[in-house]
Amino acid sequence: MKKKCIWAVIVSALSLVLLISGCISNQVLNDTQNGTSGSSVATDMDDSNQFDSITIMVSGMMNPEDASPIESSTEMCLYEMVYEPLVKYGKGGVIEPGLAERWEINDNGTQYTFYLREDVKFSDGTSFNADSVVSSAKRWEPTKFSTPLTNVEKLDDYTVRLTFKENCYPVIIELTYPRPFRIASENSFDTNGNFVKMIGTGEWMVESYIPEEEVVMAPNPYYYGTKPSIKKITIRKVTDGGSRIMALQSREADLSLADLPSESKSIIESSKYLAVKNTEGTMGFFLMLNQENKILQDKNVRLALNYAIDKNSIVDNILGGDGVVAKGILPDTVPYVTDENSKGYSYNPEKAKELLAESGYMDTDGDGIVDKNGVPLSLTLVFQSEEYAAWKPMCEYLQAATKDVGIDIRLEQRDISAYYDAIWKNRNFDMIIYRTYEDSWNPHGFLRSMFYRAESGMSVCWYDSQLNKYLDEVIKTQDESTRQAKYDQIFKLINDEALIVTLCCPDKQYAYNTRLQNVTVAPTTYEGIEWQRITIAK
Amino acid sequence: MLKNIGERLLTLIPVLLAVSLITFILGSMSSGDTARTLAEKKYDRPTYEQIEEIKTEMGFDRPVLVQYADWLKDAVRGNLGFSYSNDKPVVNEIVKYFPKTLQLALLALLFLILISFTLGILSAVFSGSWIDKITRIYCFWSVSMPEFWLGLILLYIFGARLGLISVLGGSSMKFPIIPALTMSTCSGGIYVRLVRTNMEEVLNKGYIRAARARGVSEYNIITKHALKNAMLPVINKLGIGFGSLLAGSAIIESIFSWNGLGKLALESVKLKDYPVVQGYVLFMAVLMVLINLAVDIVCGIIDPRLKNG
Repeated sequence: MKKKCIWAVIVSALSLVLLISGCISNQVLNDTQNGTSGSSVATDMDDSNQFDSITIMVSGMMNPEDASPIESSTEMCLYEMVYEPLVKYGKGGVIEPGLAERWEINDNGTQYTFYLREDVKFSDGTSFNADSVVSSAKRWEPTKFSTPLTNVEKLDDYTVRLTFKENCYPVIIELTYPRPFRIASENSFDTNGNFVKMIGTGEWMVESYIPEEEVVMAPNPYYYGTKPSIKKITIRKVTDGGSRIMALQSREADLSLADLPSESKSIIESSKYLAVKNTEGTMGFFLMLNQENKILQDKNVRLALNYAIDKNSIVDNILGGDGVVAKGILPDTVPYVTDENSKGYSYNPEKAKELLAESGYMDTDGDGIVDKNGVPLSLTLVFQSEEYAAWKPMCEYLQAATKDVGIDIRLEQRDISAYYDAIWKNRNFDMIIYRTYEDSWNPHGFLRSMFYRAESGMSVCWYDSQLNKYLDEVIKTQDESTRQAKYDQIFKLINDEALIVTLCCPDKQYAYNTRLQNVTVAPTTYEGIEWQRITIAK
Repeated sequence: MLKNIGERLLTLIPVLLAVSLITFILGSMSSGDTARTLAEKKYDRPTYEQIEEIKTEMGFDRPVLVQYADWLKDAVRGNLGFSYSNDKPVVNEIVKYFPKTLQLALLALLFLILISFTLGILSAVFSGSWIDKITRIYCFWSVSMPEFWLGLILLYIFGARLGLISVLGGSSMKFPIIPALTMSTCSGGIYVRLVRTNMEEVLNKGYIRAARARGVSEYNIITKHALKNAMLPVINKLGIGFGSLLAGSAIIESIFSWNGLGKLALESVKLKDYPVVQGYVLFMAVLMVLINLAVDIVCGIIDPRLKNG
């Protein structure tokens, strides 16, 4: 009898813990919502299929309570929806009006005067004016611009002037970045200056959220621009690629901003409910070469590597046609990239063999690999496939293609951390596959990050004193034609000296439910889709 | 009994010290640069100089043991540090996400008990029959099948095809039945074989034959006499199994978008958020010791001979 009682107690305790843990989970989440964020309880999944609401998926961090306009790890799309910049990054890199209707740059390129829109309100109903810009700008880290921000002045209620230390054209582009130079309401911060809530002038505002799970966005009632036809966007965090494709298949989710596994392409193509929006991207894949490697210091070897690769075959067979051949380091969707300054190298294995022979590389032992002074031309190629699944077959192709011209490539697959350590920490590679930055970070941000060397530092990709000088000069140009001429010199130098091995430029792709209509890809990846254009089929 | 519990709790101190030191050293040896992760958070596209600046600012350039000693000083005071990714106290993060993992592990344990005892008893009682053969196939299948694969298949069938569960997971899933079923199905094989072996052994004992000779019904023999004696080793193993369910739920939580501690740990490892990883490992070590202690107490209740042993 006593033992029966003990068992009953154990079973009851287990059931109770099970129930309580369920309740605690919900309690914790609700508490968070009603805590500092002041948000309401999150919504039902059933809403996702209504005619005025959609569900989209992301894979990054989702903490609106932490999404200060200055610094955070939260998904960029949230920033784009809530906070607006003074100027926007349009298609082809054209700087368009944002919160500023127009702007002027003084003759020496250090003062930017912004004339603000007068019809703007924050999502909490407070007015936007020059004071809002000054208060936001005071929170900006002045040294995060390419040249330090030295002064912020309010000229009148709707005019502000930003003064920078030096003439540096990228500052106007840096103002378009999703962070850290966007405008937030003063009410986004408490009296101690701590961030409390996302309040911006953007098209959308946060209605409710569950940290790291979902954020429900509602249209900002005070938005001055075109009102969206959809009334709610639920952003769900789904970290697993396989689960994302299944959520699209089950029509629980309408669109994925996060990548989908490459093997799921056939699933999307065969489904009548799913479609893919394809558009040319601003990112390119390339091989970074280790400058300290004696073999790669020989320009002929670098050229031979470029000639040995059939880039059309990579695009057709590995990307499945969803991309374009890379000619220069950046695709021609990036400002200042032209056919003239980025000619690239067409597939010519014979030319590659000639170049190698010219440098004294011959196959003396008949093993198919050329050698010089008895040392075979052998290089390691480091890659990872966690971020880009296509990199593995691409590197395997490169191994086979270069073998045809007598270059031995040893493939080394690393986990993502070890891979990035190779680039940023220990330089443990001969060649490593990498990607360029995207959108508004191109070309100035990416080129400086890869090729520029400050006095005491080192360059990530390749150092060339002439290129360093050009990179210093180009950011000081305010005149478009002078800037174009300088970029021509930069791209031509990278191309002619074969400082990298170009590969291909993948398209930007978004899989979506066909009930969504007018799906339009936005000019930047962090914006993703132009949400205000989407309509839902009845 | 109380003395035993006290002694066991005291062993926690060296266990936690060793676990934290090993985690700290392994963390510092593993690839990946926390300074770069933090620099990306601050600068988005950091340069070498900015990464170095963060390294100095955060003290990552100091010897590992000095860093460990600093961490330990705070940890002793109950401060496990702050998450690098969201600057929140690690303790709060663990408290926030643990209930979800506990709920999943308890449900999985429930399914595990149901599967292992039902199949184990049936295959022992009907040894050599088709039930036994099918159970054997299940056991092989269970131990050789990766958990993530079954998870994806079940998610596809019940979520994408039948629409019975939410593929998006999270709070839209009230009870994590399918994730729990996945976990218990994948670890069930070992327990089924254990129950079967123990039951078979007990069923051949003299006192069972004597009971049969006394005319005791087969149902009573199994439930009242055999099962109780066959249960002890299984309960011991289930205790460890429960710990594994708690600590090994990361992949399943990720596939089913279940916001538990495992998913947090997995993401923290990816982001090199070492304070969270360290806190998670410590928390799991404490849980393991406590679960083992609880198992010993339960076994002592079932078999008083073990109380003092």
